[in-house]
Amino acid sequence: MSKNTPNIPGLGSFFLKNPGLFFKGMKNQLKQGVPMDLISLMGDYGKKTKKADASPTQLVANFTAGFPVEFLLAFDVWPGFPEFSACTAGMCEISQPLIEEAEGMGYSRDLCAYMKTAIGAREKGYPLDLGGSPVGDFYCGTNGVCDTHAKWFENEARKYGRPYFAMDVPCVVSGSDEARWKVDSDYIVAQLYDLIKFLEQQTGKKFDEAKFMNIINKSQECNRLYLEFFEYRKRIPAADYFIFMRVFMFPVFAQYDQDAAIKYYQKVLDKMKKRYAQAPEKIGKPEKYRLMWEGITLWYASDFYKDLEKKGAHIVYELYTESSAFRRKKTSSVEETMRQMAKEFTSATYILEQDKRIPFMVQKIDEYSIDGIILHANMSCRPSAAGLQDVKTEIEKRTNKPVLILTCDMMDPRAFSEAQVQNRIDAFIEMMEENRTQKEKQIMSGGTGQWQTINR
Amino acid sequence: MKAFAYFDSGHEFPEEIVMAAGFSPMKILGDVHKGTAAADEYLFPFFCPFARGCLADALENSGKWSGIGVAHGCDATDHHYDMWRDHVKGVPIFWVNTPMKMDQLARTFYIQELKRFIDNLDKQYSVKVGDKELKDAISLSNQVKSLLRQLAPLRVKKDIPNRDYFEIMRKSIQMPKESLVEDLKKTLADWENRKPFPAGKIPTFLTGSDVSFVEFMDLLDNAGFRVVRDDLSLGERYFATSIPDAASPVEALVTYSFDMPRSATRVPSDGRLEYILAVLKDTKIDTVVSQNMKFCEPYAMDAVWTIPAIKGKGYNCMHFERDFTPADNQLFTRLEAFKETIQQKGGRSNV
Ligand code: SF4
Ligand code: SF4
Repeated sequence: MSKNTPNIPGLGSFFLKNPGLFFKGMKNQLKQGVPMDLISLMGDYGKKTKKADASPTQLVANFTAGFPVEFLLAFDVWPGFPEFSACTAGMCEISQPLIEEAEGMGYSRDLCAYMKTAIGAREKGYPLDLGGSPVGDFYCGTNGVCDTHAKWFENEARKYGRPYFAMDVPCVVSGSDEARWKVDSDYIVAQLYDLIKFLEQQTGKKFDEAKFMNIINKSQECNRLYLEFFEYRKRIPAADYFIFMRVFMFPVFAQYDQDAAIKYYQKVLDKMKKRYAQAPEKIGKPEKYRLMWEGITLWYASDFYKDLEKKGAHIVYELYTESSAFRRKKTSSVEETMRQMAKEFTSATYILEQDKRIPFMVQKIDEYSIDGIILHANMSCRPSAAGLQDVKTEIEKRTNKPVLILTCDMMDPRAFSEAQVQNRIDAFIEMMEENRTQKEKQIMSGGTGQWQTINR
Repeated sequence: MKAFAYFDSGHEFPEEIVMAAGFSPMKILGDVHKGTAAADEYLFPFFCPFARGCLADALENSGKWSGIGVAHGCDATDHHYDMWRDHVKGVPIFWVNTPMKMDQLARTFYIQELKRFIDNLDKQYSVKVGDKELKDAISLSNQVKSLLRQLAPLRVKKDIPNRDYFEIMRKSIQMPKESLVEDLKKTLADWENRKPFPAGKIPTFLTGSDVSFVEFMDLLDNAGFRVVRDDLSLGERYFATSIPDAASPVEALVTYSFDMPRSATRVPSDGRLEYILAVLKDTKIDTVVSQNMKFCEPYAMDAVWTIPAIKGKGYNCMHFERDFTPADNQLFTRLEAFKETIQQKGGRSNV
């Protein structure tokens, strides 16, 4: 397999050419308040990706979210993750010109802005820390989450003349039964065996089962620790909020350095254990309103989350960040792992079918003591936005908690109207406040304190 | 015979299976005059309006149908299915998971999937869809495809307005097949006697998202573009190939599904461009109109590379987004401007 020529510029050379943009990006990244150890872990991914890209022998494969990255690691292939890069550009609040760049290349305004940001950043020669990503030596995509992934990487592979492995994950719809599941699972597992053959061809190496299982074990450990952190988010006050979680999920998502990720998550957990072992008054002040968020974060709008927090509303649970944990169950053989993967591909919390999604959310509302729910009708991501009107109706009916639908875009600030969003947030907070007052009144008068329905 | 409706992003739904179960398959197209309002309560305005129109149609008309099939194609079919299941009342809804890929593994998967669909129909309607019933349905379906293959080439030679072509396609996916065969035979006799291809119309290849309402075809015609070839599902994809004769009719349906001209919802979709270029080369058509239904992702993704490739070969090619609306004056003006450019250049050239 031939190696691509290195193509990602360094941060230094970018700075010399674009000092203004560089400072803007860095300033916005810093204001996220991401802890240094996590920043350095992410920075390390950037450095290593750049090194892999520049190496004449190290193969780099770009993969989409939902693709089983452990197979790449088992073949010593470096995992390039353009969505991660796009998120970085979003956090740096520099995504819009990148999106426009991609639109200039023919990508419609209505297409996913993750994809357009990543494409625009590569075209404009942005470094990794500001949204750039390498051209893959080959591409691995799946339609498990969305069609966009499969078509995006098909286009990329075609453009650069690179091999493409597309994994076809059958869509699970409401009412699917076990018989259908068996057929779906067989199809996915057969493709995973195909993937092994594909990787053997690309790398010239034989699949090493023991090595793969070692990687899987680490992946499972990484996922276990990551998910354990969610337990502390159920506490009042919660361990941390969405603005942190959206970055905290990267080590488990990209899996590029499993040992470092395990060490990092363990360290954070140890800190949490200590924190919550203290007397309640030392743990922190309870949140006034505890929120659930469904959908992708608004990467470019960290101020929005900070404003929410200033108003006493903290997002303590999101399905999106929880869905980045894939390997949830211990497995002991390749075949068993593949079967388990098939289950995971088709049941990630991000793409749950409606008849599972709604009860799942209701359960989480209870587990996380949620006061209000924000549903992000994401114009970039139709798969996740589908069904949200029904989610709202059902959740309001089943829980009597206020539900707000925000129509925005996770990456494209053109779809974010600050004034409009603020008005709606204020009204939403008023509803939560009204619920709280009613609950208190009820308790005072000897009632159960069950939430009341609010007429709107 | 009662209609069995289906929601399909392209030509994925296996009509012959419901024919074999004793129903008349009818593709849901929505009603562009009624719009999408009924569905907008459940689907956001930034979803494909064709798909919203189909849901609106089903919400109003499901009582007239014996069942509904939803075939996987794009994210709209996948992720709207649950809304159909929850809100379209009084009729059983079936999910047919057409694979995205077309290799041997996908073939094995799809055979299972079609067998499962047959079982579900058997159970739901107490019927027995066997090989004989399937083969009869395939034979009838192939008669329709064969007639369409005789009709379609007349577009190049005769005066066949876009609306007439659309109308035979609409009938093909909505009329009971038995009466359709007779209807198409009559149409064939009529078309053969039509006047020659009119001077002043530009013979055009139409590609992109499916066209589901006749007004769009009129718009093209009125702007001077006569569609003589296409790769639409309400078009050549539906009849370019026949369902092969095979011992197993289910396997024949899978082969047919994988061999027909490629849609943008399949990966890889390279075959789509190959089909377009081969047709352009064979027929000496030098004008391509490529249209994208607003929010239609698969075709928008393909347009990024297919349009430059078509233009790169020197063909006149215009690509645009359109909406689910019967009248679009702005688009008409753009098409007229495109026509003028072609006329000024007087030959095969980029626009
Ligand atoms: S945002 Fe949605 S459409 Fe875009 S890549 Fe992610 S899942 Fe796919
Ligand atoms: S027009 Fe596009 S998005 Fe809409 S149903 Fe058809 S393929 Fe899907």
